[in-house]
Amino acid sequence: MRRTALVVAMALALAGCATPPPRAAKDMSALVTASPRSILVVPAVNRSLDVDAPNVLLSALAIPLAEKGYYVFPIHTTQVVLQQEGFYEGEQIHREATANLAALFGADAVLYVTIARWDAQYLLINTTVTVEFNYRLVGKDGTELWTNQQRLQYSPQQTNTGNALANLVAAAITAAMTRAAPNYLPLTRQANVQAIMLGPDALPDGPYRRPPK
Amino acid sequence: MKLRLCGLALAAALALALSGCATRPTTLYQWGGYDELLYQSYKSPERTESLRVGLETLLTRLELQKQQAPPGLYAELGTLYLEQGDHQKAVHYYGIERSHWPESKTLMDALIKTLERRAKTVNPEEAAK
Repeated sequence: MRRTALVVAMALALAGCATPPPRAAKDMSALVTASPRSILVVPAVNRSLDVDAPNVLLSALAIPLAEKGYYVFPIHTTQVVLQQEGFYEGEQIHREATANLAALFGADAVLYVTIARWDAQYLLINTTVTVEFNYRLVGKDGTELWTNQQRLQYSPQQTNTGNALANLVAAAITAAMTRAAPNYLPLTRQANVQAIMLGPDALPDGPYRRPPK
Repeated sequence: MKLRLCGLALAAALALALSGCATRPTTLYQWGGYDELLYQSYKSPERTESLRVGLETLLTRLELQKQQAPPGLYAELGTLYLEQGDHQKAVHYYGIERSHWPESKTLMDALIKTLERRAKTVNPEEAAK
């Protein structure tokens, strides 16, 4: 139960130590101008063969977005409302005009995620699990506000990062990746935290994370 | 084993945070394992009840501790009650979500209005009371 908070806490603690990347940051001016307060997360488009992938991804998106300071529309409630409106599949929802979706919920922005890769290669000794997600945040007027891409590869033989805390995160992921019933949630969680909260192109802080003036 | 790992990691995270390395507040909310419970309920629908119990326990605890609940969770609880056919509780929790988070107003208004309208058509006497 506490594990989520823990991963986020650890990730944040690590971020406090990280030195800023040398390369120029992405242009965030459209996002700053729009300054959305609320984000609607819609079901993902799945380009992998794993039918479970969209549910894992969807479950792991609300926490990093809310911890970044945005109001996130309730994931399950959103799905129920979308289904009542006749929207079931990610593909179909991603084709719908953002303005229509945003108006239905009163959302400032809509987050679209595509699962580009999601596979585990179980070889005799080595196992490699790769996930790759593309994130796209679009304002209610249809303007693209932010994009990011996150690829995370995991293999138990390569978990020594030289950082004790990062090793612990890796150990948690390893424990979940059993051959019989692999649990992708810890890995997906880590990918989302990296893309939304910590990476060089992370989402800027939302209204609930900004220091009070 | 899992517990020990968790405790160790927490200790390490705390130590690091206390060392002054972390410069900003760590987390804004307590989530009570929302992502895991949500995922389990998608995977096996019979676990939806665990999600409802988990959310209700968390929200009750946060109320007692006078802490802000994470965005969306009151509404999720409302929807879980709605799916059980308890429209009154659904309306109740949608109302709390709306009072905590102004961003949710459009959606909560729409959901509450639909449920109240439905209550009137299904049971006009009940609605008239």
